[in-house]
Amino acid sequence: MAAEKGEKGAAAKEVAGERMVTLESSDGEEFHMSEAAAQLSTLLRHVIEGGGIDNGIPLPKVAARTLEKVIMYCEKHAKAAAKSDSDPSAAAGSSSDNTAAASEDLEKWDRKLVNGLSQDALFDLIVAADYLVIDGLLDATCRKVADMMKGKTPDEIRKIFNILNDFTKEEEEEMRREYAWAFDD
Amino acid sequence: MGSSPAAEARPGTALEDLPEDALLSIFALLAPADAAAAACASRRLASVASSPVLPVALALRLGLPPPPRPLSPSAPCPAAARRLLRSLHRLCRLLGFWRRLPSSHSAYQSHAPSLAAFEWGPRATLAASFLSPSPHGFAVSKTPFVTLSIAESGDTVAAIGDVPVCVNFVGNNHIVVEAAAAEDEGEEMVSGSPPEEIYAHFANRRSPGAGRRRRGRQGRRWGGMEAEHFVRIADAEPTEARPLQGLWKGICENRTLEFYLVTYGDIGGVTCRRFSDTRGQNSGYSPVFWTTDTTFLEPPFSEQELVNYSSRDHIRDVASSHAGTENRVISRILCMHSSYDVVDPHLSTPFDARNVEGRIWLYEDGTFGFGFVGSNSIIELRNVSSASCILDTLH
Repeated sequence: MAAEKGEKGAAAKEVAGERMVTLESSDGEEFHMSEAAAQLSTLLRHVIEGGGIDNGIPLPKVAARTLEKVIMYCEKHAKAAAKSDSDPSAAAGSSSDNTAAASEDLEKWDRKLVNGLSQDALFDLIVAADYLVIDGLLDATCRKVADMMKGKTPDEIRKIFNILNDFTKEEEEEMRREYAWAFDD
Repeated sequence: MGSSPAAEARPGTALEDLPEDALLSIFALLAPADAAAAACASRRLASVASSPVLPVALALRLGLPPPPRPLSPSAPCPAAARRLLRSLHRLCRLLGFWRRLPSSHSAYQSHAPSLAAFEWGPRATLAASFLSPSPHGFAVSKTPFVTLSIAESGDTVAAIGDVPVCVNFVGNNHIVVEAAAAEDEGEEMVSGSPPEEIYAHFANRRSPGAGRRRRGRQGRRWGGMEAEHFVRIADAEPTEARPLQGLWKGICENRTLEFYLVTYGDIGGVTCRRFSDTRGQNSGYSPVFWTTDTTFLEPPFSEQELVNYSSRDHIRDVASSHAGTENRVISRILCMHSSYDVVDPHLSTPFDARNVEGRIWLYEDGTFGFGFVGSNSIIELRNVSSASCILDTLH
């Protein structure tokens, strides 16, 4: 279910029997998200539990394009969790293969989500996942960055991430000595 | 884009601008060597890599209990954190199987085992043991050897029993285990040193048993422990593409359990070697067969092949004087044509070493057996380990 942009000032409402919350991005756009999906964010969960969400929840650190991705992630995972909970054969323990397959599908979906992002968008999503405390999203996005670093030299890492080498020559020598054990394989 | 600078972290968010815990999450997902490379990219990343939290996060991800914390956690020491990271890296590099190279020291021990395994032990320790065939079927005996752990300083410490030792890498696939000198305590071990230092390390040693100048009391008490050299056994388990590869155990024709190592060559072909007594003629590592063509025969098999298989005795049980003749389900057959000077003194049937023919029968369960033309037996092999866990160990 794609994020739905609602009317300004819309309170938490129900859509098709499902409670929805309104989120406002830093650039003023409104999004609706199911409460079940919002529960994946520890921050949002606390805000919802604390009440006072009638006028929507402002998210000054999350821009619209990033919030859209956050909502996509949360809705997808909330749906998957709901499906898994409601599967009668799961309780009987007879669908471990199905559960593993579903989990693998979800992981593939996560990878597709992060692989389709530019570096800027990826970092923005990391910031948002960290701010909203969405562990699974933070893990998926950080994993992508870690994959980009694997097997790379310091120079290559600088190039990929456009990092300035701010070591002095002496500092760089010392770092090489400190971490010589990592470069001698 | 229409977004204000405050909305995103910043237009064009930089890696270094990510929150500290996000950067730590990224570093915790990296192997220690990759974390080290990232640390060398900039000061910000170096600072993250030096966080005392990182080795703990990394250890947890590796499935270890968290390594010991520094004595004064209120004053975290980046240098100690870096040492801890390096120690985790060293321990990870040691995991797996190693083959002991013969030395004058092991020559004086009867039946000195030559196969060693490094595995995780309790409380973030790495325990090495020698594996020996037991007299009970396919069971394997383990004799404790070196134990490595991470001290509170972050350095690696190693011991054989109560005696401190050093475990040093010479490149990635060769280690040396030798007694530690008293004066060496607290010093970093020679690891990843430039080749000149490694060779100087050995060149400065005196005759075996005399110990090095730096050994002092420790060396004399240990009686001048000879350095033990080990080479890594890569690829200890088969893969789908290389079903014969790995460390195997099988009962040979004299009814003793032996270890075998099967490797695939870079230029093609498969070689099988048997681990033997390090005093042996072939220095603990004798060839059994070698074949260049690794094309398997697929079912349905010819009548001749089936008769060849079913007419053989399967050597499976040390205790039994009558080998079983139970036939297993064969998935593929490999015809061996070894043009290699193979001499295996344990085989009861002598054969022309320059013209060895035989068969490898690959079974549906992934194990295999082999036998030679002119012999009426099949040596059945089983995996020594599966998913890095040693099977059938005696307690």
